[in-house]
Amino acid sequence: MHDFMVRLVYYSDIVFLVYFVAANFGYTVLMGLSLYSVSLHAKYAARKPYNDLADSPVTPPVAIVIAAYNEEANIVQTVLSLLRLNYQEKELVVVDDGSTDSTLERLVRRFHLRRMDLIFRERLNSGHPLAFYHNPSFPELIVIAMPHSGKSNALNAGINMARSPYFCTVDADCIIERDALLRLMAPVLQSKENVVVSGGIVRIANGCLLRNGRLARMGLPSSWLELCQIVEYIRTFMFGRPGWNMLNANFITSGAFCVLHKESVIGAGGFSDDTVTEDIDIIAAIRRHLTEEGIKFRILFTSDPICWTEAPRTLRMLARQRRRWQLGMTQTLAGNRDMIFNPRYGATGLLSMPFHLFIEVFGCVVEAFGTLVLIPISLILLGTPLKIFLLFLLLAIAYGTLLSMGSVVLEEITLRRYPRLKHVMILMAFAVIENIGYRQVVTFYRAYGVLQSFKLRRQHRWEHVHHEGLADDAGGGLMA
Amino acid sequence: MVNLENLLRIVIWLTLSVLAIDLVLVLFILRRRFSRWLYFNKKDLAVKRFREPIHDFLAGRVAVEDLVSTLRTARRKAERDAVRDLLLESLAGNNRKAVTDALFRLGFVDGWASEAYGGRRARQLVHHIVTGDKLPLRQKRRFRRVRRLRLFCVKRARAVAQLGHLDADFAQVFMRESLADPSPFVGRANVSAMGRNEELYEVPILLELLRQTADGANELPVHSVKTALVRHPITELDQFVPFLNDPNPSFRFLLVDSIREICNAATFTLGPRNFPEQLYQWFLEQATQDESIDVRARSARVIRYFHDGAAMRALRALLLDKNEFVRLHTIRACADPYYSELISDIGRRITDARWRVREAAVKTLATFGPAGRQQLENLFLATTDQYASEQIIEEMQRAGIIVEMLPALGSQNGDFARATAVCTKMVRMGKTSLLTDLLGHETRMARWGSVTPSAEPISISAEKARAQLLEILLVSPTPELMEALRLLASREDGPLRKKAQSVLQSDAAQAVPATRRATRA
Repeated sequence: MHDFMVRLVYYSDIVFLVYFVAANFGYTVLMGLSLYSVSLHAKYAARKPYNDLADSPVTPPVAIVIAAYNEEANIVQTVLSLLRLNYQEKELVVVDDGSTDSTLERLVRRFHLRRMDLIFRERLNSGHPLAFYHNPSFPELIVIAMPHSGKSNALNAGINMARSPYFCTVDADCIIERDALLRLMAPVLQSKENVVVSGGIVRIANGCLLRNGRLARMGLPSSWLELCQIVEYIRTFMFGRPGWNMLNANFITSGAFCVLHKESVIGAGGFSDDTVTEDIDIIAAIRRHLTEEGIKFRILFTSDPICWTEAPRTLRMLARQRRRWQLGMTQTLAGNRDMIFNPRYGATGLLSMPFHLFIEVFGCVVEAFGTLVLIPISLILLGTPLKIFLLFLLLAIAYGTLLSMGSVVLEEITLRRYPRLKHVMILMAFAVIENIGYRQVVTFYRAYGVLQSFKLRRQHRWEHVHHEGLADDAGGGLMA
Repeated sequence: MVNLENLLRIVIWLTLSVLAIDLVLVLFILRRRFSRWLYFNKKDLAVKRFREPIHDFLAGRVAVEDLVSTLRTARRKAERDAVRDLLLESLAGNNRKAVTDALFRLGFVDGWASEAYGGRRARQLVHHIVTGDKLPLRQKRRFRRVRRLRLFCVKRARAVAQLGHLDADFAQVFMRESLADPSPFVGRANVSAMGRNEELYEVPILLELLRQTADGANELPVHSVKTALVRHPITELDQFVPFLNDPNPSFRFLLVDSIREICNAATFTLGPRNFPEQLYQWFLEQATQDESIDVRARSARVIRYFHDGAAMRALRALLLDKNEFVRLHTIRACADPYYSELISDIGRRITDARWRVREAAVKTLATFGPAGRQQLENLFLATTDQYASEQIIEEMQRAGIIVEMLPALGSQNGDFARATAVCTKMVRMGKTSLLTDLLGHETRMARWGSVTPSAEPISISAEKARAQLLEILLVSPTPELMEALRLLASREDGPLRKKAQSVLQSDAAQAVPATRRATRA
């Protein structure tokens, strides 16, 4: 029995070592590519090439689609921020997915909307709206009340109502920077290629002060949990996605802020409720559809259009969010398993999807299993020297801090959203701290999400993360 | 088995290396913050120091030689950058020549040209500009593929953008040179500068670039070239004429669409005299018959600016085009008071088989003011086509026509009958949401569209109108109406309250279904 355990632990250690080396090698390559692409883009963007787009009469209109469910705390701020975007021609479609709070009432009251009977052409399967709200004083704004049927259906309803050739999905708890839509559309318009998706960066607004739908003052929250998430978001968006973008292998774009080509989405069947993360799923669906049709296309990520969102403030909410993300990614990979290692899908099929499957999905299970089961067995039963374990742990943490600190430095070089040195130093400190405890906790949540995917095939409901609302200069959660 | 001691040593070294890099990153941030703080302080000081002499120079109080000798005292990078920014900011209109001269004497132009084209070629170009000597042929540059890389072209793109700000004598030489750059980034910066300058000589260059873009012969995006082209004024339309009969329909479409944008940007009412004769004839005779649907469709949007009888006839013919997109664009083109004669032709399109055309027709009629609105109401009352009715009533709601019409329900004049008929038809169609909403909120009847709720008292006529509206809504009661009646019964005084109470107690109220869904086309 002892021999068996020794062998088991020995081979498991090899698996861990391989995983450790492969994952960190992958992240290092991505880090290198991201450094190159983000810093170059920042230099290019410093030339202010967006003024031409803003003034140009040939810039196409964009519909902004917001699916909202129980978002009374932030919805008005979000809509205000979107109405004030620096973009010539836009329409704003807010879909209230049967909220049980006062989301709809707050919109109606703030924008003096009137209920109307409008035409609804159901090109994508979405179900019938209950009502439409509009006010000619805000001609670009339309609110649709839907019976509660999930985010995918709500988004599809918004697309059905939208008239523009492109639409931008925005989460109801997000604040978009004034030029962000313009920056997001820039690669679509300035590329000779057929860009069907353009994704931007999501950052955390906890601790910032809002005024009339704009970030009036940058700040940091006081809670460690939120600070860790801020560093984590910076790392993900500065050191992951730009790298995949350079390889033309974007597998994920955040649905919180993303521009999509309407006809491509309709061709792909729209947002599906087969997975709990419809934003990951739609990218795979579009890729599959356009590849099968033989249409050349690009899915892009741009590193400077920024959308600010509210991060979970409690571990419970964080657990719910991360579990859902991981579950959604697993479901999408499982549903599109024929794309993995399939050269037809280019770098996405050959690199990005395998990486997400083996490192992002299975990796967290391996990590959680190792931490919870193998390390204790190895230490207690097999007498592995503690110093080996501690040294490897130190190396893992040190490497994690390198990635996190590198991303904060990249943020400082390129986007510079934190004007105070104190804030940057706090983030640098949390780039170390988040590797001790926070990261492991998140790994467990993610591993649980993966395991859950085996029993949960379909989930139609919103996994709602409670938002307390971002601070405005009146101190409350909502601008009235 | 791996040697444990070696493994431990590797791990220790790796960890120490990583921690050392972490420390370097922290120091890097501190240093960067400090150097930026220093740089911007120096720059601010330099801006304060040099703003006055530059201002005096622009006002003609200081000669360029004196200015240059003053500005030459700026030696540090921050100071040079401040001088550059101040001069570039003041590059406009009449100042352009003088500021370009100053930039040139200070060596900025040489620097940008060297960055963009290499030292030797930059010297040749500058020499050509200064002396007027023939420009030597460009030598074929090596490493085109490498120069295309983004890593090497951002600096060039920035330099080309700066050079594009200069006076036309300088700028056009540099811009022509930049056309040969292999990088699309540089190309975009170049084209963008051309758009900003709005110089006459640029139009043929941009048209040629547009043709190449349409043919797939360059890597410039259509959007960039078109944006630059449409910034030029309508007086330069004669430069489009040689390109009108190009065999490539995509190019012809881009051409027509650019002309449309240029016309859109005109700040005065256009007529045939504003268009070159050949271009005018081409649109009326050839564009309207073009094999390309896009060309035909967009030509209508240009022809509308002719504002004459020929344009009226051409648009009337295009309204009957066999292709829906041509009809759609023609209808949109007719949204101009000059073409009010076409109201009935547009009205006929409300029963078009294609919903986009129907929608465009309704929206266009709504722009014709009282005449168009009356036509819409007439069509709404007369048509038996369900789709046409739905389309009309959608626009009447969204544009606020219904709300503007409702006070007539309380009047004694002829509008009463028309308003009653429209509302009754809406109720019969099940389009009662807006009417019910307005009935339930007294201030909304009095004032529509205001962001701040009105505190005005309800006028007598509004109350009469609401009573009439209630009568109409009772033709086909809905759950929303019952809700509104409950509100009226609990909140208001006067005849409406009594009426609401009596309706709520009637048998008819009990028969109303609990929920209702929005209708769909």
